[in-house]
Amino acid sequence: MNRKNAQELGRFFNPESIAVIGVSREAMSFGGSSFLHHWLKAGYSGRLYPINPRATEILGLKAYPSLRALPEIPDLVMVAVRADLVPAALTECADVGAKFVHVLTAGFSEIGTPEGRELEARLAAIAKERDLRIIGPNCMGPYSPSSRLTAWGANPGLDGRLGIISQSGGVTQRFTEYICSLGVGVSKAASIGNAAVLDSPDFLEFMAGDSTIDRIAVYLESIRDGRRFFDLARRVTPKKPVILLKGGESRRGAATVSSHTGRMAGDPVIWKSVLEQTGIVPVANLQEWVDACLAFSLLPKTRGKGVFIVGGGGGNSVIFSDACIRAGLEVPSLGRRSMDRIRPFVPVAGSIAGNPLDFWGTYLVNDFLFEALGAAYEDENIHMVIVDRLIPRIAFHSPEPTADSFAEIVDFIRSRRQVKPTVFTIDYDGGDPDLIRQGSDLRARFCRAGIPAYPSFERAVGALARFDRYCRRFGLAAGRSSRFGKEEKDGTALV
Amino acid sequence: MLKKEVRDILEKSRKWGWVLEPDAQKIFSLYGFKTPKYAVATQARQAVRLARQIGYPVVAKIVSPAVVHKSDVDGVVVGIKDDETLVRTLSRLSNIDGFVGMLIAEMVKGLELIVGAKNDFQFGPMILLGMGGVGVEIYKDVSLRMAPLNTRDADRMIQELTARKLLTGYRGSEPIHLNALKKTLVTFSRLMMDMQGVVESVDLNPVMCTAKSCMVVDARMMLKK
Repeated sequence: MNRKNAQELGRFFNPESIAVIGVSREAMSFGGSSFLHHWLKAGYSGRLYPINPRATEILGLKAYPSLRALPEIPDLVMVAVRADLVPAALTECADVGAKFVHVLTAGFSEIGTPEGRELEARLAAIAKERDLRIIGPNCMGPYSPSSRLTAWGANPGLDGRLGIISQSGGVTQRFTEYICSLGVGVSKAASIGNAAVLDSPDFLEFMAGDSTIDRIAVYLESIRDGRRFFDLARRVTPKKPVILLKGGESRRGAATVSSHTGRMAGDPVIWKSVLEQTGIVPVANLQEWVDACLAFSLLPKTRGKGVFIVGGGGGNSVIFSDACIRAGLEVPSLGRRSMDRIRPFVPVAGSIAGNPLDFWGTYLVNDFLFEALGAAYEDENIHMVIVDRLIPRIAFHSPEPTADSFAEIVDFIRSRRQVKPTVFTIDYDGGDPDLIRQGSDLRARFCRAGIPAYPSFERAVGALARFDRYCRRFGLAAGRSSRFGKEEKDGTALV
Repeated sequence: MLKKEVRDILEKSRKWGWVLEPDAQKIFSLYGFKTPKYAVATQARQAVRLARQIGYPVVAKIVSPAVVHKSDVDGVVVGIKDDETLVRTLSRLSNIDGFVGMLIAEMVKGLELIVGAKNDFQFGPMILLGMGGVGVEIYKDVSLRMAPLNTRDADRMIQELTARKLLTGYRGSEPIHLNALKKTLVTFSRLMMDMQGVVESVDLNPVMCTAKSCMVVDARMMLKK
């Protein structure tokens, strides 16, 4: 697919009209009617056409007996009929001149029968012969908050600069919910399922050329044309980070792949080396995926791997340092000037002035925290900062913090955030529902204010290590920091 | 586009599905890889003459379309120092199934590495670099990249090996010629791209590396079915 063709895939994500073939008259059930229901709920502003020969009205929308009966050629057709009826529906699309089709229906190559494979081959053949652009089958299709095309995934979601390509609707559903709730918005997501016609390289090429997308998150289990994906990825990664979660690494996982999307998962060693070669950022699970996307979305580039740890408690300082070193980061000594700035306000007994900075005062008094951060930002040994933040606990042996210090911290960091990447950790794991609620609230507030915050120190370290690795490899090639350090359009509004 | 001589060799090798070692050596020398001096003999007097030309000590290897794994049939004898051992070796090897000749080659010393290639169903030709000898079997110290490689890829592959210090000089041992190794990898990967339609896998085992050069000492090339 050449560049021009790749860009036409944009039509999937901002259709002015959508026809749905396969809408039941009954109450909302998964498929055509649930998609219509969610589009209406999200406030989709285009024209919706339910197709059902036995209905006149569905969900308050005028129903039509066929595509032919529509007053216009729909920009997008969603096909949700039984698998064996899909070929006829596709032919009808081609007959009326509708070119962009999302096939939701499952029951193709992924069921592992000759009939399933045969049906999928027919689908692909019709697409080729009649020049149709098809997403699917067996997938959730296009998603885009700016078009209110959010029948699945976070609804209404959050508009932003992330592109998502995924072989799993379920994984992507959760992923969009996680990141949107943390203030990282999505420009476009494509759930591509069996990818019988349009495959991940097509969407990678499209997103590479889409100026509303800065970073690309990918979930893949298999790939038909690995070489094309490779060539594209090599060109894309220096400009737009590609963060990839590869499913099917274990034998069991790989066996599940074939029944999920009907394809072979491939040798994990080969995948690993291909990712390394192309500069793709690999992650192993949903949490790492979210964590990395937060870092890559919100942070300015780092110029090195020296981490300044601000926290409290001797044991914590030791464990945090270990975690940094284990991940390949460094915890360098502070320079003399920083030490001169910090020493006066850090008590000699019970605290340690240095890196890590072990001083409970930073939890309680913003001025202490700001002085420490200010020193680190000017210290050439330091390239990144991790601030451990506690939720107020009785064990503090100090009065409840009366003023909410959050807004002041955010102001301080934001006014300096182009200096050095700074993230927070708020550990709220455990069984106390109150602590969990407070912790997750605080975490979300930081993230939505544009400051990555992580529920554990290790997760912060993992994200920063990936970020540092990418910056080191492409630091020069990627040029200006604005390229992937851009603020979310809507992120600031939520502060 | 492959050279005509190479196409002829590949065509002739189709009937047994892999490329006999002297032919594989020919392909690699045609593409500018360094290979040891070698010759093929079937008769005792001829063998002696060739071995003297090459210069003792030599290595002798069975050439037979029926023998893909030479060591399984005791088909390789290293360190042959005289005519008598050479003739005795020839008489033994000539009894092995499918014998068409005995390859006599110069003995080469150096650090043993493995360079390989395999066609992956998703990614096409993948290039492997690994430590040879026990390194590959026990430690599985290998790194992989997709072909074609650029010099940076080749460099990263070397850096990825756990035993990379052995390549760059360890405890007084001489470092190998890294640029020669990188060039070998890059050229090999391009050749694999050219041959991906016909060749299923290739093992260069070992590639002997010294401070001066990298030499393809043994090549096994399997064709697509």
